[in-house]
Amino acid sequence: MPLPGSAAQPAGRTFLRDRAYDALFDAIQSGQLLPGEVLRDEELMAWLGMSRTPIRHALIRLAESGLIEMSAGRQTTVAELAPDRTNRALFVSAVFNEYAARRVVGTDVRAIAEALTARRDEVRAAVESGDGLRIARGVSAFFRVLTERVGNAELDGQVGRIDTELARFLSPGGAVTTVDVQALRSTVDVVHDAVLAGELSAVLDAFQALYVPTRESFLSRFREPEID
Amino acid sequence: MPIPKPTRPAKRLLLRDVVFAKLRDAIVSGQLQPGETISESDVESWANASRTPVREAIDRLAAVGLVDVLPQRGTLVAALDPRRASSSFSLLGELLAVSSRIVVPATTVSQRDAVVRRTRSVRSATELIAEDGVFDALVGVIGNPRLRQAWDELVPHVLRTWTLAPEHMPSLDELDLDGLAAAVGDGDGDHAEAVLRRWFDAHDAHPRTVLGARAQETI
Repeated sequence: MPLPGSAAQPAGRTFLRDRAYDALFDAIQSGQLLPGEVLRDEELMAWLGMSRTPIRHALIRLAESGLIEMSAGRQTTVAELAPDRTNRALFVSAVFNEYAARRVVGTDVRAIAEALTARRDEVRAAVESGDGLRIARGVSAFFRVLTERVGNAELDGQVGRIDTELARFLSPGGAVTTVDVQALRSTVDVVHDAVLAGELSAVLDAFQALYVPTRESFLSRFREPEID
Repeated sequence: MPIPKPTRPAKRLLLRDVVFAKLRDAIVSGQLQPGETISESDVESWANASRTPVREAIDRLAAVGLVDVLPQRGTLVAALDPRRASSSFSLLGELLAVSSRIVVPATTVSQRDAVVRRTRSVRSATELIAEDGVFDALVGVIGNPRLRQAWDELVPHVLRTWTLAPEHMPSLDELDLDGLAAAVGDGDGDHAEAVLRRWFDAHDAHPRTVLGARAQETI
């Protein structure tokens, strides 16, 4: 496992486990650690200059965000960028955005109009730049204007986790970008205009496309004749 | 002689996942009470596990807010948080409403029958969302593990609050179970969604916008 140069730094005020998480997260996001790469405790201990315990804590958090795979009797690896995983995460993300839209669109949105437009513009600029991570962060920030407006702390927590996964699918470390960025950009444009115009149905229509892959995968699994 | 078809090996469970599930269920059922101290060594002997998986399980419980790990004082079962439960319940409503809309029209007759049978046997809100409940079946059948994960993260707080403080459990009176069963039976996803939304809306801590606001009319 070729690990990036030493990430050991003075401890500062952060917990070791948070530092381990951040270092691993950045290495996965940036593509220094590639999908499928095996993560061995001893090598991580040497690389990060810390004991096993904080590293295990960090690995569990990364596994919960879907960035790495840990299962019994198998090596811990950086998660593959399977298109299926992206589509599943996009489905859940769309559900949460639909939840927010149903509570925000049609109310007085003047307080969020400026932020929504600024973030729409940032998405446009990010797509122009072609920087995957910037696009992902931009799209997340755009939709968070809606989800944070609801004031449901559980929603904010769920959105934070799903955004972490989606950022990875757009990150430059991925050998294949599985997300159609032009489609994302036009979804953001349509949602922006519809929210400001108070047109819920137009917002919901824009989310429909994100539900299609899960529905089709459902159909292909359950509609095939059973073969014995 | 036909070569036996390889059967898919049952997915091995990590010990920490087993310990996590045991502790979670004990907290949700009230077997472990709010404020109760969890001793790691007790858990080790109770779950027959070593220190590392127990610590990892407790870490995860802390991450989902079921325990508080306090310096010097150890691990305590978190206090009940009805607000968190109602915010989670509100999100469960959305996961379920969208799942129904998408999956109900596509289900096979036998899948529909299974959901309809369960729907007709429901006697409490807990039976709707608990493991193997009606909602579990609807969310489970769609086959999106990420959706399942979000569902599993939200359910424990709701169930625990309803179990330990039943006054927070919504009544089933407003839920049109017959209408839901009929909609599922007919493969009418939009109608199933509407029935579910009506019930969740009646108990929603984060109310939905009523468009074409009839609600604002004064009588």
